Amino acid sequence: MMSLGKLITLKTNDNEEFKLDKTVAVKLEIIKNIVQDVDCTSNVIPLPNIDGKTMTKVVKYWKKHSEEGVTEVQLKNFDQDFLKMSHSELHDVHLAAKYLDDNQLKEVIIQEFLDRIKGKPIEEIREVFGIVNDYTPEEEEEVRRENAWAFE
Amino acid sequence: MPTKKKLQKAFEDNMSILPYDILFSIFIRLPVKCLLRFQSVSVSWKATISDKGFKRVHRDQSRASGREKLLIRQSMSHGFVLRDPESPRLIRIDEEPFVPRKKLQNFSVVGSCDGLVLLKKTMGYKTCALLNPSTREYRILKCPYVNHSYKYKPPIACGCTMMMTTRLY
Repeated sequence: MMSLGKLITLKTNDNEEFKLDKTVAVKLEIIKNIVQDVDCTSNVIPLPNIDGKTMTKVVKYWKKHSEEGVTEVQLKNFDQDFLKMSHSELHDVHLAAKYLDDNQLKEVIIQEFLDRIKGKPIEEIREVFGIVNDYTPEEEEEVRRENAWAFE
Repeated sequence: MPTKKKLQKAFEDNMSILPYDILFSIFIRLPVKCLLRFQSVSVSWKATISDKGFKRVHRDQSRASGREKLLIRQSMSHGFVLRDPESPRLIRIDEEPFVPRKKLQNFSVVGSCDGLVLLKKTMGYKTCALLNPSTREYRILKCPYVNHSYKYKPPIACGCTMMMTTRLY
C-alpha cells in the first residue's frame, strides 16, 4: 500500500509532473487501482499515454469539479469555457479520460462533439472534421435520394 | 457485413479527426433522422450507421433513454402522424414516396414494440403491415395461419414482439 501522503504525483510521458490531492486522485478508478496494487513508495504514478499539455487540461477540470462550494451555474460556465478547444485537443482529452477511466469527463467530451455535429449540413461536417468524401457522385445521389425526407 | 475492425481501419485511412470510437458514441445519441442524413457524409459513415450491431445498440440506448414518440392515426385522412411529447408539432410520416399513403390507407394500429408498429387492415384479416415510423420503412405481411376455416372467426388479438433467438420481429 501507498504511504498515506496527502499528495499524489502524476507523471506524464513528457515528464511533466502534476501534484494532486489524494482525495481528488483516488476518485478515479485507475488511480485507485494503481494505488492499491502497486507498492509505491515514491507516490509518483506514471501516465505513459498522456502528455503534459493534455494532462494540464484534465487536471484543471478535476480541480474545478472537486472544489467545495462551487455552484451548478459556475460549473456550467467553467465547462463551457473548458470545452473551447480544437477538435484534435478535444480528442486528446477524450483519450486521456478513457485511459484514466473518467466517465464523467468522457461524457462531457462526447456531448461537445455531438453539439458540434448535430444539425450541421453534410458539406460542413466533411470540411470541419476533415472527412474525405469517398462517394462517387452517382453513389452520393443514390444515398441522398433514399433518405431524402431526412434532409427537410 | 463490415466487421468492427474493418471499419476502424477505414477510419484510420480516412485521416479523420473523429476516430471510430468517438463517432460510435456520438451516433448512439443521435436521432434516427439525423443518422439517415449523415449516411451521405462518407462510405465509412454509412457503413457504421447501417451496421446491424450499431442498430441494435442504438435501439437499446433509445429504449433505455425513453425516447418516445406518439403515432396518431388521423381518422379523417386515414394518414399517420408522429408527435413528440415534448413538442406540439405533428409530423406527417406517410409522405410519398417513402410510405405510400394509399397502401396503408385502411390500416389501424394493433400493437407496437421497440418503436415498430404493427398495422392491420381494418376490413381484412390477412394483411398486416409492419411500420418503422423513425426510418419510414414498412413491410407488408401476410398473416400465415389464417386460412378458410378461420374465415368467420378471425384472430382479434395480434401482437408484436421480438424473437430473442433470431432478433427478428
